[in-house]
Amino acid sequence: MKHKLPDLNRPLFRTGARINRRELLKALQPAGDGAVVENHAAHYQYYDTFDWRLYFGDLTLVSIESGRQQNLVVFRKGKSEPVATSPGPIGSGFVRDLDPERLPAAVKRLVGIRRLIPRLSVFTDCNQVRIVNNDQKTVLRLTLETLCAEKPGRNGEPYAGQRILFHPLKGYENYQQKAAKNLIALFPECLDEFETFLHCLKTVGDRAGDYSSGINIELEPNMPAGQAARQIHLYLLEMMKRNTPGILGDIDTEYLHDFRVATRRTRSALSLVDNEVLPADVVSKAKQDFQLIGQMTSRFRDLDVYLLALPGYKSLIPAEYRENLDAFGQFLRQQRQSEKRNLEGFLAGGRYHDIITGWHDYLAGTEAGAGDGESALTPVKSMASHCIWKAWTRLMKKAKAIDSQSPKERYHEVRILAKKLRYLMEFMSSLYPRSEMKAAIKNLKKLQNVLGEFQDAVVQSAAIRRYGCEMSAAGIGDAETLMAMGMVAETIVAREQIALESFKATFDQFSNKATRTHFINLFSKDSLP
Amino acid sequence: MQVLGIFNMKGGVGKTATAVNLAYIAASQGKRTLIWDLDPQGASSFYFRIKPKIKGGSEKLLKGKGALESRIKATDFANLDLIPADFSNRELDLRLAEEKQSRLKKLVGGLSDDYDLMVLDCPPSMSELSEQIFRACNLLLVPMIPTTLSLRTLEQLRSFLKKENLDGLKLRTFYSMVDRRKKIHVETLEDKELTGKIGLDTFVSYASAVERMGTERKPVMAFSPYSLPTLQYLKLWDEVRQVLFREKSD
Repeated sequence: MKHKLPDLNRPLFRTGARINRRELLKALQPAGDGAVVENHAAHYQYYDTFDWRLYFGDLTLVSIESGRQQNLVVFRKGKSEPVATSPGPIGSGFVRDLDPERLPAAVKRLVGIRRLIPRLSVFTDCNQVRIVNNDQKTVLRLTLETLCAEKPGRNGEPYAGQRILFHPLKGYENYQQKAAKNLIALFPECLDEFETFLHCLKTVGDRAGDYSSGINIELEPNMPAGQAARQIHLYLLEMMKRNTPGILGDIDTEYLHDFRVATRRTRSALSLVDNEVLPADVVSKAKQDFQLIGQMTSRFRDLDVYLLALPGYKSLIPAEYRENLDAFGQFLRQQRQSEKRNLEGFLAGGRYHDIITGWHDYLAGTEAGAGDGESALTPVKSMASHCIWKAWTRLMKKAKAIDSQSPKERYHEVRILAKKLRYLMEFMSSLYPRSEMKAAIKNLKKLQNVLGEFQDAVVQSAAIRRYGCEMSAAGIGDAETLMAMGMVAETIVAREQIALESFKATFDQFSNKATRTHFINLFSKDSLP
Repeated sequence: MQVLGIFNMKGGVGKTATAVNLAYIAASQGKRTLIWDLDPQGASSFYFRIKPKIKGGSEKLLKGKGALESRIKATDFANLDLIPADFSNRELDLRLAEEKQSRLKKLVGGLSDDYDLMVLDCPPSMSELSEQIFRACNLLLVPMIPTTLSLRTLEQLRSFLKKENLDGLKLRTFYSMVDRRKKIHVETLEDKELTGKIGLDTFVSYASAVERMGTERKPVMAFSPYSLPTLQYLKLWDEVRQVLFREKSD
């Protein structure tokens, strides 16, 4: 059997039965005499965020422990040489605790506020081999690694394969080529570090990128709308379920964030689509249930938001006042601690369990048809266009009607309409040309950003005032703390005005002829009469 | 990168043993080290089991961009590479005579990002090549057998450096192949005035372990880590390191 010349920049890999040292040395013989000079074990612990941010950014981060040495190493897809190495353990898993000098900026940017969690353990048995020429001079070093993979926290260590890592010596590079040629029959594949990680992950039955906070639902244009609605809701329910252990384990703040987004999306779908495709009593009950979930998780999330925003708040006020905000941080952390118990109680309690299992059983156990809304059997594409078109028209009407003198509540209403429209477009995006849908969502996003900034400023300044009162009542923080909080609130209020001023220009752009035509072409023609 | 030249116009004074052992010790202490075997006899290359280069020629070496880098060979030891001897190095004098006085310095400087230390194992002569070596070096280390004749040679070297306006070059000397059974060795060693400020405290004894380097084909520390010469070379490196890198003694 003829084999292609291997890519010498990547380790050679075999998934077949293990070969031993003797077989390896025999295969290497034509390249020179070989001898195993050292045998040691190493442990590779791969890390990524829950939503695979490094994987989606073509990076993998691994903690390699060998002997007394432990290093964090970052590899890029397609490269076998590390892009960065930092000595020491991973610590808390938050990038703020990692060495910023030694890790690439991309890791910090991608991971953001998420925590790096263990995704895979690989235990390796390493045999270091040296090949010598007839002068007994070492001309090549290589390592035979036998890899056994394991899911974090589980036992098993299934055999994942063997690989050859070459350590070519300057001036003797041709020996690597000779050895590779001799080994290619035994090691027919070439996998870089990124690919090795994916392969080992597959060995334990996992798949990288199996969770993303974005919506990725594949719908068929002609499937009944009732069936599509069930598919969307099951997808959202799964997101909530997958994030629950992370919330209970308090791993990072984004589990609850994603959980709440899935709750909001569910509520949004219930109000925009399901009235017409699911039974009215089901929709009505689900609306109440998911509203309750939203309410029960809201205060905890708010506390997370303000704790995350605290360093930013400090930068808004003069340096000499910043320390005074520490008592505010302490208050938020205390509140969070007590609120955590409420949240855990709710998520582990019977009411939540009943909501989730009841909703799941309903969605998974019934077919679209009898008892559903009148449009349950309508093709989903027509239903989607109809609902998006309706939501867009409503948004345009409301947004046109507001100006700089309008009460804040009107802006809030427009923001909610824009958010619902966005969710709807994301649910249905597989039904439309990808690039056109992407462009339409991008336009909507700009409008949402301005409305979001305005709303955040309104909510945050009010919340800081409210927290100030609560702190004062509880005797936490002194006058200087409250003064510093007041300075923050004042700066945030000024942001309201900035956001308001930019709303008109952003909406003009959103409602210009080109964007309007884009929406009309995409959604009006398939819409229901 | 610091460049250390091991030089003496006399042969058989322990230049190669010094170059090989100091380079090995520096590398073992974490310095990325390159040893350049400039002596056409190729003894350093032999000690590291690296075959001398036969083809190519010194002309190509001096003209070709990256030609020096392409000749580097890894030794069997971490952090330690070697440019093997080239039989055509014997023509280097003639070639260099046609070049600028700083040609070798420029050539060596091309590797400054890759190494912390370059050790030049120099041929025993005083020639155009030697002059160029002096210009390329940060420190010239002269091993001397403790005899009157050796001291005369040192004087000749010092006056040559002065004549060539190279008196800014750091120059250090130490006694090598010391045999305490010989009266003249003992007397010379005890007379500190003879070498003055440039004389290092460490001396290296004549020892069979150093001769065994030829059969073991390794630096002495690699096969006899607690022998007397190993300990002496360690001490010598400590002194050299302080001059070259201004690092304090451990």
